[in-house]
Amino acid sequence: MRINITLFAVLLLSNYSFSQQKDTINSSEKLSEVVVTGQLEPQSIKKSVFNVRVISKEDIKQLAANNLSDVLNQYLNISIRTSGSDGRSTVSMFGLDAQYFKILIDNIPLVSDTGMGTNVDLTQVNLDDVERIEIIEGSMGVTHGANAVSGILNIITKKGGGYRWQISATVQEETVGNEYALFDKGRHIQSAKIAHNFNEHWFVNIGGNRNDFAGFYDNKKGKDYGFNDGLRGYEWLPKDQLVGNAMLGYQKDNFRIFYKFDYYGENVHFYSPILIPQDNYPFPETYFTNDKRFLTNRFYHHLNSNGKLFSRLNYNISLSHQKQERDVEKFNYQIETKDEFANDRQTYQSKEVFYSTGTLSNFFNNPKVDFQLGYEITNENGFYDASAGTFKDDQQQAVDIRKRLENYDVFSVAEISLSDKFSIRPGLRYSIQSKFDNQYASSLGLRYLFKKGLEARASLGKSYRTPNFDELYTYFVDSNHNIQGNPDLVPESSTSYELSFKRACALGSGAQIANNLAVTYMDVDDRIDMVLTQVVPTQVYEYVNINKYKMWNISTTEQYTYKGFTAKIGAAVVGISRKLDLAALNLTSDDKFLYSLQLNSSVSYNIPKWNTLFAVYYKYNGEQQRFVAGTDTDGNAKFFLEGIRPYSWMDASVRKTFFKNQFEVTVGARNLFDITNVQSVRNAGGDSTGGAHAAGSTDLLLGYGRSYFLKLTYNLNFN
Amino acid sequence: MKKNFILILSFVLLALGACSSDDEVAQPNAVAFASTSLNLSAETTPIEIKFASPTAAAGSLTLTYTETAVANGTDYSTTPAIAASKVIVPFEKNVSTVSFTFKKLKEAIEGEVKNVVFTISSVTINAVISENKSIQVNFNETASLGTALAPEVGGPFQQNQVYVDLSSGKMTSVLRTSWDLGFYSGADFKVVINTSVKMSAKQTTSTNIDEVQVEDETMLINQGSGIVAQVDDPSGDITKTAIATISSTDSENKVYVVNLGSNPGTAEPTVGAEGSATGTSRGWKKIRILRSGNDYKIQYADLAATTHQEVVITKNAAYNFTFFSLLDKKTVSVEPQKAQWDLNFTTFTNTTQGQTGLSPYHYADFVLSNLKGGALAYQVLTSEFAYDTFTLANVASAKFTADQRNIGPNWRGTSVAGPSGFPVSQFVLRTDRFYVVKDPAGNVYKLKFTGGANAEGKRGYPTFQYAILK
Repeated sequence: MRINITLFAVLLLSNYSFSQQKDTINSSEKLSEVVVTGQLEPQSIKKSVFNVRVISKEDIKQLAANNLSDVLNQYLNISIRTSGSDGRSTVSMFGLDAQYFKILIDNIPLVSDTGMGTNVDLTQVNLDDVERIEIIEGSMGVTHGANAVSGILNIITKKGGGYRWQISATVQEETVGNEYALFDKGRHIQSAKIAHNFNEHWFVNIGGNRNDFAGFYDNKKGKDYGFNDGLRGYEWLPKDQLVGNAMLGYQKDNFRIFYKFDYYGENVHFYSPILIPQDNYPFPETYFTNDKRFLTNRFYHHLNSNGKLFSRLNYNISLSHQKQERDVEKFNYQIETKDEFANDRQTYQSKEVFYSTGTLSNFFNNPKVDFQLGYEITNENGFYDASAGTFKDDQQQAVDIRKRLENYDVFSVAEISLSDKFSIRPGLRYSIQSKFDNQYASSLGLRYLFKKGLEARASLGKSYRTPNFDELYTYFVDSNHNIQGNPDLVPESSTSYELSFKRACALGSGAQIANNLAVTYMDVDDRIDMVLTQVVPTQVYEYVNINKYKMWNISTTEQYTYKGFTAKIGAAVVGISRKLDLAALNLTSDDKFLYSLQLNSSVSYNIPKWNTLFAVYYKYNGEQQRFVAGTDTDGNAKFFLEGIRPYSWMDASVRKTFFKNQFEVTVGARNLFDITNVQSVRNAGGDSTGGAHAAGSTDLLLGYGRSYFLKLTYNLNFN
Repeated sequence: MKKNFILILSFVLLALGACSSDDEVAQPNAVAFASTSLNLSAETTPIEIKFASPTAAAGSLTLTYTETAVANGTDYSTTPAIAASKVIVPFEKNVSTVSFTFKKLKEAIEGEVKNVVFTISSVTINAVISENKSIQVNFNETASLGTALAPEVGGPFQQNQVYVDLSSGKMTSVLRTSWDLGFYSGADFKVVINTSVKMSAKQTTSTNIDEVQVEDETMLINQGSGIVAQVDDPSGDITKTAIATISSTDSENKVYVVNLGSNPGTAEPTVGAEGSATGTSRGWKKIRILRSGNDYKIQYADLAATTHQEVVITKNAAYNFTFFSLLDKKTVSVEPQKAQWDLNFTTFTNTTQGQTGLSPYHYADFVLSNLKGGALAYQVLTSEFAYDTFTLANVASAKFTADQRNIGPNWRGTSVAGPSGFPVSQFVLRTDRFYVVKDPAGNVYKLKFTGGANAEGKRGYPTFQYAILK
């Protein structure tokens, strides 16, 4: 029995997730990473035609990352934006927001309040059961469909374990900046996981995680502050998160199936800084506030099966039902008595999705030519409460928006190895859309392996972003306003090109050096923006397909490994050109490329004798500039150059294991440069013309200052 | 193995945190007079004392008093009666107000200063005595020392204009749509249009009222539309009206096309929004105004009409204006006498700097001061002076500028940032400011707004407090 289990464990370990026998891994490649994202079959990263970047489990551990936002701060070309009004943290890649970036779990998109894979709140993606994260930059419309414009991020979860029983429990305590208290301040994380292999065929994983973020006060004074000077509330909203997941898997011969269930619950508290007085003459006024809490529930089901059909064809099929519902509970809070009253809870945004994707490959059983046929079906039912946007009718009554979006896609990818060295990979997707015109995406990839470990890749990809509810359905027309969404919008279209070189070589001394150089160009056309489309007789604001975006990126990473020492250094220059057209104001922005520099670096040193690993992560974000529309002092529309000041991000940690790796202690610090708000500076004053009365914010929430963590993990593995 | 489970157990225990709870401290009650002064009109007057929350137990209040030129028993009496220089007012458990009765036994002669000041000296239950611990009961009409008022502008449609007289605490409410033109009673011959309904007036080249005129869409006042020259100067300067000074030479008095603006809405707006001008169009008229001796003569008709009606409108020096309704075809009573109001709660056609220059802009929740009657106001930020400690010595007379908008819309905000970046309508009271108001009689008050929306968040429920400055 014991032998069987060990065998099974070895099998699982060597094959990672959707393990696939075809790619016989020889001894020298065993150390290299296996990737699945955008691949026909799981294969070594070296053989991948796409330039896949990997964030390893070790990185996640070393950063003591609980959720995606903890880890992506260190990633080149990505920055994270946090909202002080609803507590969401979203990704921005190459200056494009989270609507252009798709997040997947085990190759299927993750539902969010408003999207399928897109606009995901990074803090809602727990990393407890994650094996690794794969990122592909650029438009991946063929393999990943709509909205995979700036890139995709695929989270590969753990399947099974190496022992009959794997039990682990973690407690993590963090300061939030310099704020910490046992309950009211700081961040408190507890988690537990159990993985069990019943026999060589069946395994089960169960996990739970609680993350209690007590908010970041900064200069604010919390919820019981009773003065009307704008200081009530929190700079970063308090948030409690609860995660539960379970996975049941079975495998026999060439048949594998797993079912994964994931529950996510979140409670975000918004405490309004505006105190509303109640006249209580002749006594002093009493005060209440209009507060709210956002309650999110996400249910994720994923059934996947893969294996061989007719002992030749490889199939991989996923069925998923996902639902995320964000409720808003509005209530009034009486400051003097600390009582809540007039509680009113209703669904704010929800998205329910039936999703299925499947692929069939290995038609020719020929190592030179592989061909994949795939389909993707998405049936999304989205709901926006009237208060979640600006949705009114002609009588100024609030209107809820409920719409179903369906798309039926077929795609096909071929991978042709012209020689051992040269692979070519054309792909095509056709998408039948219920709401928009049918879309298609195409891609072409080339890979050439030169001598001495030099790998060259070239790829072209297309994708598209479908308009969101705000863009389609916003409506607010009265005597003073005319702001309208546009149901006739067409999807934005993107094209990206990437040329990359990788080289890895081992020096005689045992040291290893790896370099990577990538040049990317991307454009997005028909970008949707709200513009003034009419001035006389009344001003009409409308969403239209009007703007253009172009981006150049050159990035390079160098990695040096010697014994326990690993150093990585990366640099990226991004040039972004945006052409903003103010339509009726007859003004178009300068579309020159505005460049910014990012650097990242990590150094780790492992001392096996002490079971201790030291690591430092550093990222420098250069000034990011863009043109924004505004009004000059004479009241005329004008473009202003706005720049986000440079800032640096540094995390460091020490991890030590005790008692034969059973007990693991990680101590570290995040955000050593103590970044909180970063100023966004405009070269002249004036109001934004982005909306009828919208005023531009000048402080960006980027972090909550230098904070420290202590993470204790207990692992118990036995057979 | 056992050791392992103990470790796991300790982790579980660590993970389960107890919750902290706040200890509630019993708040003492508070007691005060409902206002700080009172002018006796009837023979018997109940004098109201308020508790901040219902009384926890039955008990009594002890009042002391100070007389000015009056004596208990001769000029007045109280129930309960004064005994040992005190009034003991009993109250029940669970009451929020209690009152005692003041009976005037002898009328005062006009002009005499006669009053009694009652002061709460103690209360038998756990309650603090608040700011209004005294009330001055005046035998004659005397300027109010201050109180709290809630002008009934009518909720989100704000269909009423409410004229407020601080010294008497009197409020006069009229429908905004009840009038169209105001004929100035001063020496000049000036005519104003109703600035509360988005009205506008365009001069034509014609002097013939029977000539057919057409509607002109550019006269409509919406965001960014409308023409500044076609509305009265919002500062209230009577020399800068849309309708030119009425000339004694008839041939100089042109015909005007008048857009009567919009009615208040009828469909309830979303909570936090206002519907003061979302209703139907009030229509169009053409008018021509002439002098008639020291009075006015108005000729008016529908735009397409080839005949007209004519009415003489007389000046009345007691009032700022004589008001006329083109729709009801008669003079109407709108403002109180010009010395008997200080503030007007109304909607208003202001002007704002837009993307295409200065343009008319309709405001709800506007507060005008009676500039023509001699009332002036200015704003004080609490960063300079606190309301409670502000006295007459702090008044800066130079700040009383000749602009009726010195309170204007500045006391409130109307939106907060919404989820999609667009502002969402919500009434926001600005509590960082208060106002100083000088009435036509020269009384100077400090005035602070205490609300503008009801508890549900619906607009059009302003409340304010004021106190005389001495």
